[in-house]
Amino acid sequence: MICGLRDWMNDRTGYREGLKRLQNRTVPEGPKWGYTPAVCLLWLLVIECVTGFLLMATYSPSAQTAWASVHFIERDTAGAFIRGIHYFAAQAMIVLFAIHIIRVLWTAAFRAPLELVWATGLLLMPLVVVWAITGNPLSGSVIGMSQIEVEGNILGATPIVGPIMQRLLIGGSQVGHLTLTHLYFLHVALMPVLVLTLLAIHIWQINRHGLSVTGKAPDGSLAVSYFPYQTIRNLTVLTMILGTIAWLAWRHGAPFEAPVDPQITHVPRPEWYFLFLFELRGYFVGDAEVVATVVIPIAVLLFLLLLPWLDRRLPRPVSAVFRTVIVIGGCGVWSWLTLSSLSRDWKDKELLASKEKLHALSTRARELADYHSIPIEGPASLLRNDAKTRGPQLFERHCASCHSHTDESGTGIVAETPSAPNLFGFGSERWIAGLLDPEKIGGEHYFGNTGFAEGDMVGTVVDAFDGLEGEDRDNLTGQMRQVAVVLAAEAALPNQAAGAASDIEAGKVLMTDELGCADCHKLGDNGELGSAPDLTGYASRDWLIGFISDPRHERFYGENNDRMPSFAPNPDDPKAGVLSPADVALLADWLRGDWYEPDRPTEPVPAAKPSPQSEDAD
Amino acid sequence: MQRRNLLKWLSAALSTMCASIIAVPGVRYLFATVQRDTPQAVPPQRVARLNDLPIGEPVEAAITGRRRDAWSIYPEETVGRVWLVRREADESAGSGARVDCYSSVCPHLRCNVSLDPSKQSFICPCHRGRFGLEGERLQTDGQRNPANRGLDALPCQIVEVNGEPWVEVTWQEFEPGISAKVTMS
Repeated sequence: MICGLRDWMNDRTGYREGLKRLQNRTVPEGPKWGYTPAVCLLWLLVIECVTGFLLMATYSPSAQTAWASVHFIERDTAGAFIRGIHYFAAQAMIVLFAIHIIRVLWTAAFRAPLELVWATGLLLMPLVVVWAITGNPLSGSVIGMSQIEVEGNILGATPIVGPIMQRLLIGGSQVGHLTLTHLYFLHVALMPVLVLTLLAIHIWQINRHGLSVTGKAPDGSLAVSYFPYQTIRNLTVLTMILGTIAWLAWRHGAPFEAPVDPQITHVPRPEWYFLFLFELRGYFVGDAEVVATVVIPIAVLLFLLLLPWLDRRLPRPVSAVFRTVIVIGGCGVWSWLTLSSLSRDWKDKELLASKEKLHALSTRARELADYHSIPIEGPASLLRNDAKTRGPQLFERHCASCHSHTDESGTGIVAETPSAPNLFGFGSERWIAGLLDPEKIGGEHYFGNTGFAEGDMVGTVVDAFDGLEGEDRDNLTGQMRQVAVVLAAEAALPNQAAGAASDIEAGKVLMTDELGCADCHKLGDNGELGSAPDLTGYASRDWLIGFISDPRHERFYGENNDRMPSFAPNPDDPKAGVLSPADVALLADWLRGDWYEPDRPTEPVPAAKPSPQSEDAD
Repeated sequence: MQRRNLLKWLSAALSTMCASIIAVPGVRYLFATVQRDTPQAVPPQRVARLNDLPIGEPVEAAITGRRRDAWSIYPEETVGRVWLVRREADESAGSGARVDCYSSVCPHLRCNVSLDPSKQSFICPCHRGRFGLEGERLQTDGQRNPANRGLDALPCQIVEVNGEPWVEVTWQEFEPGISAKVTMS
């Protein structure tokens, strides 16, 4: 039955003859380790195609979904591994390609009749590199996207065809949806077609001229068969390469930074295989830049393409010297340019700081995406609406001219000229206890440098302790601690456990009766607004948003406000303030330490509110 | 010959190993991505005011809920539709209004059923499934009804909100194509 089917198949396809030819292939000059890079290159291409096809099953190219879908792939261990293999195998292909070309130069394997093999192989190299760089931005993350923007601009600077090519690549004048779909088209359609076409010619030419079909070695003896003697060499090297790639993919994974966002500033650098061009460009400034980016690469490529014909005119010994100079010179120049670029970057503090910052942002973006999934506004909104990320930026920009935000050891954001309280831990029991400490309230971390240094609050606290010694002093300190517990309960910071309800009740009575806080402050139903900040909901999210928006409001300092500006004074006109209501809320959340942290238990995401659907019923 | 066989065997082993480095995680990844998301539970929700429902005439209402679509989250979106049928109040039982609720998802292949112009039956636009106002399968015109069970009734009750009666529905989804009503997993 099976036999009949095979016969039927063979009658129509003649596959047996094909298989036989494959099995009877020989290596005329004997099996060589030197042949392995080329074969491994082919197998890596297969691996790239297979892993690429797999990734295509999930990936979605658009500014809105690219990062989100890659994050979706990365969340699955197997997906992250496949993506890692895809990434590292591409790097390995570039390395192997270089080794392959060097070997062909070294052994002069480009000589007649192999000129076409040489030319197609040489053209494949830049194509494979372009194939790789069209893949890097597809993740929609900061580094890849800024690379393609720069690469687009380099392309745009090419004389005559540049501008139109750039617009084609970017899909308009700005990076966006079409940039990603265009890159995707290049990466999964155009580049593969070009590469596979050239590769087909390359392999057809090798088979036509390269492998002996007579089964005889050049000296007339019986040639060694390809399988398994060359095959085992190929497979040994391939296993080692794939093992390394798999280890890298498993341990490190493909890079995946924060989603691209114009708000994120970082210092872009090209991939390692392009650093030499990046460095070379430094020698040609201004209008001459195109010499480095276009003229020199094309000249080198043309020179190498014509090598078989140049070499033919040289006597053999001269040719050997000539080829040696090309190989060593080429490797030398490439390494020197690459290393000098790398060594400059290693010393560049700004670049290192930028890398570190981006790394932190990337970790945070992935953390948030793991928890929230991707909001409809797109992945960039994850970091934009994150208090932990935006809080320090807003604080540095708008608050740090007067306020510091430094912990006990002094690390954090230091004010330019500290002239207002240090807001680290604002609203916590510890912070409030410090405010009520006669030694501290007039100090630099509280009211020392403000208009309130001689004010009623400082006076009241200092006078209360004045002359008290021993037990009396300890007693008052204890009462002040109780006040701190009450106010910390009003603040309800997510990092602070609330005090016992009975302590809080007792503390409130103490505040209104014995300590006389309510003489100036309002607390719940006691006291009145107008002379000092409201203590109801002190340091709560609502209170802080109100305070930052307008400290001159009668609920806070009113007429007595020192120098604190009103950042969003008019709730009816959100555009009129220095800060938008959303920014004020982010700042309040950050000061309160209220943000998502993976190792901190938080309430589950609230389900959609049940809402009446009267419109549908009508 | 011995060496040749050993090398052949080694070649087979190495190539199997290389292939499985890609194939095993590849298959795992593919199946992880195509795994069906479990539908998110939707809490019971008010869908219509009782007084807006005419007696004996089906009215359509939308169910909103949180929907996850692979990587995206839609906090509030229409996740399904229901048909509400207010019944004649049964005076003898002493109770007030009675409302039945049917999922508009056809139990055949999950198209949305619509109300027949006569307003006396539901009809599925995909394969002409027909259902009565009690949700039952109808056999008409000698045509075979492709659905093998009636419309799926959903838990539904009347709740008072600010003194006004509302219809509250608990949204559920069921496996299509079978005669038993089995909750989708």
